[in-house]
Amino acid sequence: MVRSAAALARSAAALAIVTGLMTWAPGRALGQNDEGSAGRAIGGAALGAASGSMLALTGGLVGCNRTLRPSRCSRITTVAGAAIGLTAGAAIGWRNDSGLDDRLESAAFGAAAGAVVGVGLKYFIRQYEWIDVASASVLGLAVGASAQGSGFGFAVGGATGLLLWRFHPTVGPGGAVAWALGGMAVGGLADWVADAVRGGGSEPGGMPLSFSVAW
Amino acid sequence: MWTTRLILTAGVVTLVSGCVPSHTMQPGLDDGSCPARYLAPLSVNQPAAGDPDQLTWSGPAQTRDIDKNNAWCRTVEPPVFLTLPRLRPEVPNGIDSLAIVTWNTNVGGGDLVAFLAEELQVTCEPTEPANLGPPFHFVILLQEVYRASARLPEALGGPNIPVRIEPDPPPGGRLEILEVAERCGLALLYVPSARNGPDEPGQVPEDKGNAILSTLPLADLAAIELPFEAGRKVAVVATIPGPSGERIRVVSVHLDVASTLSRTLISGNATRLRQAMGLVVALESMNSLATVVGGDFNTWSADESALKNLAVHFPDSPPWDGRPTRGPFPPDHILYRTVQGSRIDLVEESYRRFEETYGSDHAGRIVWLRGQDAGPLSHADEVGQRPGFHLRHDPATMDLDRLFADVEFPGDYLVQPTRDHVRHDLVFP
Repeated sequence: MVRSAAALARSAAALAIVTGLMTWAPGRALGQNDEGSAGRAIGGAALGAASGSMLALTGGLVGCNRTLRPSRCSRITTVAGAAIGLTAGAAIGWRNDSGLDDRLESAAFGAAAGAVVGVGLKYFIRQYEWIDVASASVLGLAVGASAQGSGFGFAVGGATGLLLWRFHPTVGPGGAVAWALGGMAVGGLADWVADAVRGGGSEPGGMPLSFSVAW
Repeated sequence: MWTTRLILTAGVVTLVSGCVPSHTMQPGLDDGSCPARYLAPLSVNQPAAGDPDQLTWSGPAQTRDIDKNNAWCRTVEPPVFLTLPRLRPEVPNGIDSLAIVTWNTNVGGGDLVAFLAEELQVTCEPTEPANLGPPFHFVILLQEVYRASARLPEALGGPNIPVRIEPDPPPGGRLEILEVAERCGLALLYVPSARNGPDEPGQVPEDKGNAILSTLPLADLAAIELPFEAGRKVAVVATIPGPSGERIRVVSVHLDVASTLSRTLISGNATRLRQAMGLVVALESMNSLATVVGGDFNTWSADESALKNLAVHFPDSPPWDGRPTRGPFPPDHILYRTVQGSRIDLVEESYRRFEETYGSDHAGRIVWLRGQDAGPLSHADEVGQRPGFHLRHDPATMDLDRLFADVEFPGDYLVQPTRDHVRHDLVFP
């Protein structure tokens, strides 16, 4: 019991530190308008780097696991995702005072949802520890910060994977999952980039998609 | 200051997500930290070659892995062995061929006795007057076999006790591995790795793990605890007298199906690769022998990292035939590595999947080893197929299309070209 409580405390502390690092900077930037554009840019960069790295890491989990050196592959995709997110987040923060408002809000929601899922997994899977709950929460935070793009990408990637599996059985269920996770990562990162290109704020968290229907 | 925080944040994320947990291994884990690492003196046979009373242990060198493996190890009973088979007890001067089978039996859900009878021609009824065994030798590398014992340590639950697997029993009821070995007269090495669920009222406690069953005597027994991911996994190792009088090392292994979320992220999903490389390191520390590894690698695809890296270390493995063995997944494989000067060949075209699962959630696989001095395989084409109609013909002398033009087949019709003939199998549904 004591060890479990200590583990819980350690995991909670780790989660608080990681979450704090990810959200403190944009939070301060948004809460204090006198912080200036540089502060918002740095805050956006921190949130973008965290979200981008976790998205890229998750998106490459299955794909990288088909290479001879999956850990190196994961490192490369993670760093690339972090760089994209960092750049996009900085651009959003630099160009728009309120550009990170919705992202921060949905990131917090994602972290909470991830924690709930993590606690559920811990209840059903005996080998799960509090560090896994924290991991689920951080993953939820990262996905939540680009919720619409990640969700859209996951759906498109998943559908593509299922179709490929249907018509090319060698793709298999693992390939379908790889497509879904890869789609989530691409969609989430595209969400960040599109928002940065747009200047942020007008449709925070949205995909750069529009449809024109001719009457 | 902001720059420092930014770098710190990015650094933490990158470091956490890009680490590679080590798969360093070390010999000699029987240091008293877990009583279950000692071999149970249940054998009624005399020792075979070498000193089979000794079970050599090796395992991961990292503290976390050792602590976790120790905690899980203390929930099971010691391994058991029957080193000499009752069937065909004569130690062969040199057998000419040998079938290697791997099968995950789903903790007693798979009907091992029926499998032995139908696929390997072994009669497991001790009342049979002339139980001389099959006309060929074989080794079965088993995963998820179990033992029921009231002497198992108390286990009320917790993270070291996995959820109980309780499959539908086969027609003859679930049989624990020691009972199968004794009934069928086969040599056995069973090393439990974990409990099959916590203690529950009215149920005899069970442990589960990997095993080797053989018509040939087992020696040089070893157990390799793999790097710990989500559960303790122990590869079971022995040597047998193979074709051409050479000793062969046989290994039964079971890798984790998934790790925890945190470890999956930290390792970049290298769960099974880490365990596979741990196995490779441990095997390479043993004396050099031709080695067959069969097991449930829990791979989602046949081009997964673990298999790709294992293929580097087992370059003589038969190619995968593209057929899954658990639903749409291909987790079960047989790998092979020869040594310089070996006179044993692995017969690639004999590598195939058993069509029947016998109640397990996995289909088994089989491959044949043959001595270079031996003639063509006499049994390879007769093993591993469901009962049916088998016809060999020489396409140059018989036109089967015309012969069967008006015949409606009630089952699957398989055409299987081999080196010297074409084989047509009508497999009854």
